[in-house]
Amino acid sequence: MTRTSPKTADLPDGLPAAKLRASVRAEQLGFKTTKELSVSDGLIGQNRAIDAIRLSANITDRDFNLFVAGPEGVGRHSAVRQLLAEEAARRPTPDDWVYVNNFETPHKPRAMRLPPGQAAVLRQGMQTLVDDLANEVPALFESEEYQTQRRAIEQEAGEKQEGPIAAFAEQVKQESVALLKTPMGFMLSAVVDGKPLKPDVYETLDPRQRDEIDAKIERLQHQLADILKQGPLLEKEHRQKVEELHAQMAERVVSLRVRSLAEKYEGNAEVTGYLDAVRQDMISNAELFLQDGETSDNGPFPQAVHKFHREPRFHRYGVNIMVSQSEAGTVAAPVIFEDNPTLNLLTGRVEHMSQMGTLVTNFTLIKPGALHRANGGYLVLDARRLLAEPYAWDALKRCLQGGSIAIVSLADWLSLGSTISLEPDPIPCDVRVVLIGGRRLHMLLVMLDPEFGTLFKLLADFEDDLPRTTRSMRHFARVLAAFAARENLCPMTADAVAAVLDHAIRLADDTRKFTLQLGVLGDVMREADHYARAARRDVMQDGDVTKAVAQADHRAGRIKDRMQEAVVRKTVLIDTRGTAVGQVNGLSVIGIGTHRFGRPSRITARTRMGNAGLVDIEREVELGGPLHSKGVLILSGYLAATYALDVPMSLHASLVFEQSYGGVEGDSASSAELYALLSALSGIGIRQGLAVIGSVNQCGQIQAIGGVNEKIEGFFDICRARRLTGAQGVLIPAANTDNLMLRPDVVAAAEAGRFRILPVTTIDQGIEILTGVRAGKRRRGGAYPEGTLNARVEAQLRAFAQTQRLFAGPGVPNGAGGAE
Amino acid sequence: MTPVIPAKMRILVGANSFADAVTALQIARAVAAEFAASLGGLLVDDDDIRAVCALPHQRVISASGALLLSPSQAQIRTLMNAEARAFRQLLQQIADPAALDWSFDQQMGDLVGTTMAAAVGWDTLIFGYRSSHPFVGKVVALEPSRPDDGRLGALAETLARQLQTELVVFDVGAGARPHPARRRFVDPQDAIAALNQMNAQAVLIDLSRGPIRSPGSLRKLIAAARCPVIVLGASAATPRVVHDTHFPVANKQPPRAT
Repeated sequence: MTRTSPKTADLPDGLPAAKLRASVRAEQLGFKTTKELSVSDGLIGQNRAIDAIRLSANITDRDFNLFVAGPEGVGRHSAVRQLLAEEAARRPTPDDWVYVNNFETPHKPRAMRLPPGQAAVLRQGMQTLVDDLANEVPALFESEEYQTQRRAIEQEAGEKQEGPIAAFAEQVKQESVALLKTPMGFMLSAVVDGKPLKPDVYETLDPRQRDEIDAKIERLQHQLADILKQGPLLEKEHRQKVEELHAQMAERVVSLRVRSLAEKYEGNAEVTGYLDAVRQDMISNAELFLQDGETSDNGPFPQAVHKFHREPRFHRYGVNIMVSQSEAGTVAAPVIFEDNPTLNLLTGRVEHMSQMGTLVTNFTLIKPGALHRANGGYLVLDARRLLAEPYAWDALKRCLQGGSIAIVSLADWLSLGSTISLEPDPIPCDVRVVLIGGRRLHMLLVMLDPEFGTLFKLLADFEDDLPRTTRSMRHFARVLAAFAARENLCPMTADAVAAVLDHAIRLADDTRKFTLQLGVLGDVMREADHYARAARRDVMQDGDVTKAVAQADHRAGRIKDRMQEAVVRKTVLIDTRGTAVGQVNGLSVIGIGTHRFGRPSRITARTRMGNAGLVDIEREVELGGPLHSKGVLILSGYLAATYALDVPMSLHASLVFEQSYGGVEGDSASSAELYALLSALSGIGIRQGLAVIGSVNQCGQIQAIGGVNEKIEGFFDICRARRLTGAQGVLIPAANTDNLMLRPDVVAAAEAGRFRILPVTTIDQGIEILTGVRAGKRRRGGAYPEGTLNARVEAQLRAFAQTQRLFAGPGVPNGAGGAE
Repeated sequence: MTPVIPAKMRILVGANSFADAVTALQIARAVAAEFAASLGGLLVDDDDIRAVCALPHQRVISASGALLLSPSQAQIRTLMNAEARAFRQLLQQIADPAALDWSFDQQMGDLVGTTMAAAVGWDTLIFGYRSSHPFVGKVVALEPSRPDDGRLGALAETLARQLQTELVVFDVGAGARPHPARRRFVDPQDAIAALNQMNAQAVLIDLSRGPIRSPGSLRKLIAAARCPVIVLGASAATPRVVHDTHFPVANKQPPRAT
C-alpha cells in the first residue's frame, strides 16, 4: 500500500475531560457515610412494574396472572416478594384442605375443605377416635353379651345343618342302609346281615331285589345330595347373622364416639357427611378392630396408650392434610416461591410404596404441591425453570384454566403407569401465579403459546435503568445503604457511594442514567467490603470500590490482554502513527461472559474500475452478519448518491476487516469502512493514530453506536502500550457523547492532551479530521472545489466511468485495456 | 380340686381318610403342645368301602352334594396312597414344632376294630370324622360310669377352652360331679340319640370306665356324633394280644417318615 504524506491540518482538540466522565460528586449526595441515611425499600425507578404487580395482587379476576419481565439483578424477586407479602397480609387466611378415604370408590379419594387451622384438629380427632375404638370394640366383643349371642347363632346354624343329617342317618338306619365315609365323600349301601352289601352277595340276589335295592339307594343318594346342597345356603345365612350381630354390637360404641366428634363440625355438611360414612364403614368392618395388629410390641407402655391409628389397617380412617394454615403458622394468604417447579412439586403427587414386590398406594400417600400450598394466595415461579420441566407448564395452565388442582402423575400422563394409582378429587384452585423471566421469554410465550395471553394478562416490565437526577441519585444512595446494611457490609463513605454510582452509570452505558442491575452493584459492594475489612477499616471507601471494579476487570481480562499483546507485538497489524491510504482503524467490542472490552481492527479498502460495485469480503465468505452487510450496502448508496452523479458508477471496490477470523456483526464500523473507501478513491492517507467508530446512513450522517466506552478504552490501551503521541484519539458519533463514562486513566490522558475523543456528525467532518484535507461541498455549478477530498474522489470515479465507457465502446475489441 | 391331666399323653389318631383325620389332628394339635408326648397316625383302609364301590350303579355324594361316579379299585388304591401321604405330612407338621415323637401307618380293616387293636400302649385314641360345616359345635363329655381320676373332665374342659366352645356333660345313670351344662340320660342309647341331634365338635369318652365300653357301642357313638371322638382307656378295654402285633410300637422310638 502506498504511503503518502497528507496535507497536514491540525487535529481538533477533542472533547474536554469533563465530558469524558460524568462522575457523581460525593458532595451532591448530602451525607458523609451511609450510617446517616434512612433505609429505602430497594424499589427504585420501577413504578410501572410495581403498579402491575399490585394490580395483579389485588384484582379478583382469576386470569390476571402476572409475568414479571426484566434483566437479571434488577430486583424482580425481592420486589415481588415484598409487594406480594404486603398484599397477602390484607387477604383472608385461606381454608385448609385434606384428602380422606372415599369408602365407596377408594381409588378416588375425597377432597374436603375445612376452616383455617381445622385440618389438624380433624386429623387429631380421627386418630383419637380410632385409638378409642381399637380399645373399646375388642372389649365389647369379648363381653358375655356378645359371646352368648354368638353362641346362639352358631348353635342355631349347627342345628339347622345337623338336623336333616341326623334325620337322614336315622332314616337310612330304618331302611337298612349304611352311610359310609370315603375319601371322596359319602356312599350308601344296603345292609345285609348287619354288614354292607358285598358284590358277590348282590349278584346272588334276584333281579327284583336288586332293582329294589338300587332304587332305594338311588333315592337316598339324591336325598343326601339335597341335604348337603343346603350347606352353602346355611353358611351364607350364618355369615349374615354374624355380620348383623357384629354391626349391631359395633354400632353402639361407634355411633357414640363418632357422634361426639361430629358435634364439633355441626353446620359443616361436608365433614359431617364424611363422619357418617366413617361410622357406617366402621360398623360394617368392625372386625378391623378385632385383628391382632402390632399390639404385642408395645414395650413398657400399657396397651391402652398404644397408637392404633398408626397401624396400616386403620389408615383408611386417616386424614391426609394437603394444606393447613395452622401448620404454616400464618394468618395471611400464603406467598409461595417454588424454586424447583417440576410437575410433581407443582401439582402434587401420588407416592407408592412397595408391598410384596408390588407398588401400592392409597390416599394417605398423596403429597401436596406448590399449587396446594399457595391456594388462596400467590405462587411465584421462575418462568425459564418452569418451561424446562416436562409437562409442568401444561399442568399449570390446566389448573389455571380449569380452576382446580388435579393430581396427574407423569407416568399417567404418558400412559406409562403399570401399577395402581389414584384419581383424587380435584381441589378448587384460587391462586395468583407470578412468573419471573426475561423479556425475550415473555415475547416468545406471547408469540408461540396462544393460551399464555389469556391466562397471564399482566406484564410487569422492570426498567433496566434509572434517570439520573439529583433526587434519584440520593434515593439510589439510600437503596445502596439499605443493601449494605442488609448484607452486613461496612458503612460506605459518600465517595464510595459515588464510586458505586459511577459504576452504575458505566453499566447503564449512559451518563444520564443509572443501571438498575442491583445484583451486579451488590457484588461490587461486597467485594469492596472485603477489601475494606482486609485493610482493617470499618468504613468502605471509594478506593475499595474502585479496586473491586478494577479487580473484576482484571480477573476477566486474560483474553483482552492476549489480544492487546498480539497487537503490540505486531502479530495483529494495527498502526497507531503515520498515515496510510485506504486503511483505517475500526473498533469493535468483544463480550466474554459478563465482561466486555474493545479491540481495534484494521479495515482496508481497494478500488479499481469495474462493474462489481462494492464487494464486502466478509459477506462473501459468510463471516459478516446481516447488519454488517446492511452497513456496507449503505456505503454503496452513499457513494452513488454523492459522487459522479452524471456518469454510471463504474467502481470495483473491496472492503475487508484484516486479520479477522471470526464473524463480524453490526454496522458500527460502517463509517470507518467509508473513510477507508474515500481514502482509497482519493489517494489521500488516513491518520493511523486515530480510530473510528460509528455507523453511517446514506446521507453521510454519523449515527450512534453501542459500547463506546469499551471501544475507546481498547484503542487507548494499544496506544498507551506503544506510547501516547498526542496525535492519537478516537472519532466517535457526536450522539454518543452522552454515553461517555471513560476510565479515569483515559480521562487523565485526554486532559493532558495526549489522547483525544473527537465527536463527529458527518462523514465530511470525519474525513477532514482523518486526512487533514478539506472535504469540500458541491458548488452551485455542480463541482466540488478543486483540491478537496470529495473532488478527488469524484474525479477518480469519473475516470473509472470514462475508462469503462471507452472499454465498452464500439470497435474497441476487448475494451481499452484488453489484449490485442 | 381340678384333676391334673398326665403331662405326657400318647395320642393315636385313627381315620378312614385324610378328610376325617384333619379334624382329629386339629384336636390333637390343640392339646399336643401341652399334654402330648408322642403322636401316632393310623389310616384305616376300610374293606367295606372297597366292596361297596364295586357294586353297580353306586354313586359317591360329595360334601357339596354332587353325585359322582364311584371310583374303581385302582383309583381307590391311588387315592388311599395320596390320603396316606397327606395324613403323614400333616402329622409331621403338627409333631415337629411341638418336638413330639410321631409315627404313622396304614392298615386294612374296620376303623374301630383296627384302631382299637392298635391302641395298646397309647393313652388316647382320636377317631376322625370329617366336618361337613363350619359352625362351631360343642364339646361333649360322657361322664364315666365309674369314678375316675378326673382326667376326662379335665381334658374336656381344656379342649372346650382351646376350641372356644361350650362343654356339655352327658351323665348316664348315677350323677357325679356338678357341672353347669349337664344333661342326664337313663342309658347310653338315649345319650347317643341325643348326640345324634346335636352339633358336636368333639366327644370324649373313657372306654375303660363306661358308659360306652364295647366297640359296637363306640361305632354307634361315632356315627351319631359325626365329629371326632376322643377315647381314653382304650388300651385297657382292648384284649391283650401278642406284643409283636402291636401297632405302632409306642414305647419305642417311632420311625421317622422319609
